Amino acid sequence: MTDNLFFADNTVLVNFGHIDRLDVLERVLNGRGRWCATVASECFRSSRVEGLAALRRAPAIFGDPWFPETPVERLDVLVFRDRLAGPGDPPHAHLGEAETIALMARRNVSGFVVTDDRGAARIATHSGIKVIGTYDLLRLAGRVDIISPEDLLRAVVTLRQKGRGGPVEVNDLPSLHRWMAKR
Amino acid sequence: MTPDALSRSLNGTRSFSSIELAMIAEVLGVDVYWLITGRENPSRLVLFARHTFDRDTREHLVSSHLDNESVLQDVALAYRQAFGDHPVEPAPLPSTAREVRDMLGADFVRCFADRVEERLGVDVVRIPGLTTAYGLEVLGRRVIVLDASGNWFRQNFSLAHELGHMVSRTPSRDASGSLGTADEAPANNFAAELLLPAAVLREMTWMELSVEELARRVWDWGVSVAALRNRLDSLRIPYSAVIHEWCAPGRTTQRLLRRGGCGEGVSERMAAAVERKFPLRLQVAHLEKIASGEITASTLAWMYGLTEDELDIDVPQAGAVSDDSLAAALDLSL
Repeated sequence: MTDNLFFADNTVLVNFGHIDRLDVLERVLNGRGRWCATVASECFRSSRVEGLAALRRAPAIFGDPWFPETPVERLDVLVFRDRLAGPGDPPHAHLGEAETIALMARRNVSGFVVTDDRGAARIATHSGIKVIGTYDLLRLAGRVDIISPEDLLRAVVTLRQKGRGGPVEVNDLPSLHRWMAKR
Repeated sequence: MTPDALSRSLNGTRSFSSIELAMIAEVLGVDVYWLITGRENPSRLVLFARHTFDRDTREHLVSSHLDNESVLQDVALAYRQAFGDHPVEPAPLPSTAREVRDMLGADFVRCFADRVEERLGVDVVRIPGLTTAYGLEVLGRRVIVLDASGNWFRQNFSLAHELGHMVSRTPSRDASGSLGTADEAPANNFAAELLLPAAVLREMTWMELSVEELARRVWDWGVSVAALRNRLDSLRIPYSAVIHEWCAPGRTTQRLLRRGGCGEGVSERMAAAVERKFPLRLQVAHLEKIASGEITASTLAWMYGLTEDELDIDVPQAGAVSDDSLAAALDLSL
């Protein structure tokens, strides 16, 4: 089995869609990006939202989606979905993250969940899966020159303006460089 | 899902995604667990609903059940998150109102919910947003869910009524999964006998009754005047005109209590009856699982009526991955 696969959830894909930089995501994942079938469905639906057409490129990055193949894997998804859910959540919320964590855990996948959902991050960690988020990938992309500092700053500001979180200390190029040097 | 994808999934050349299974289950009106396994979901919700009697159609109806359904599902989620890995066999309950009274002990109605939890092992949840009370069973745990309405005597009767359903084991969900019209009479009789025992009422004098005495009895038993009158009627015990007067339109039990000198306690009981309440063991189980990172804190926050950010508890943080490690995992050179 290939080591170090990176399973994205839709929160991260949407972020790269908002900044229209799926090219950066593709290059930084370096052929190690994967996704589950429910995330692929969510991404397809998101690609129809105005401003997120860039997401149509995602299948070329993540390839054929991974499906739950056995009843045990399908039931695992229900268990993880319950763990991720909260009162008032829509009935299908969290299925993408649940499917991702369930398949990675059940198949002993060596790799990372790529998510900005704090709850999903904690539950993946509890299941022994490493977790990174949008800004880990963006910072690394900046450090290996996949994205210029100017474009990275623009991306951070855009995401913040869209309420997608991000490093609050980054406001200009000097603060961006300090943030990039942190880790 | 495209027709082609559905066709390939059905003939076994493609699997189903989780979202597809969930949507198919929704369209078919079946539990997704059943769709996956062909077996009944062990963590399914079994409902014992409190029905409202429609005098015109003479049917027992659960009003606004669809509105209540989401609250009940949230309660069930809280139990699955806390105890999903520890289903239990439901503990036996006593079979008569008298046995239940004996187990609950003297003056149980003052702390009815707590006694039910401590002595019968039935959890009690109180939460706003319901139009009626429900009894439910999830993972072998019995739970009575009350509306946090401030009307303590209605809550008492609802609690007793749901206990009646549980004692007589009359789940009102029929085989098709829809809410049926269960026979409510046994549960109502049980509730009446639990709160207003016939033997006790028959020993008392009801013809000569002052307003103060009536107020004191209604206060001590934790019932409404109307419930008392109905009970006396059903037992064919003659009673004073004072009871009739206090059942007239515009007269309320709260007003009777204030008139009868119980006014200070009314506010206290009302305040208690609007408080959100979840069993302590449920909260503890959530705290432990949140601390271990097994579940999120959103349900516990909901139990307290807070947002997740307002809930100030320790949650484990996902370990940070250094850029060096990340670059190495991605075969990139820093």
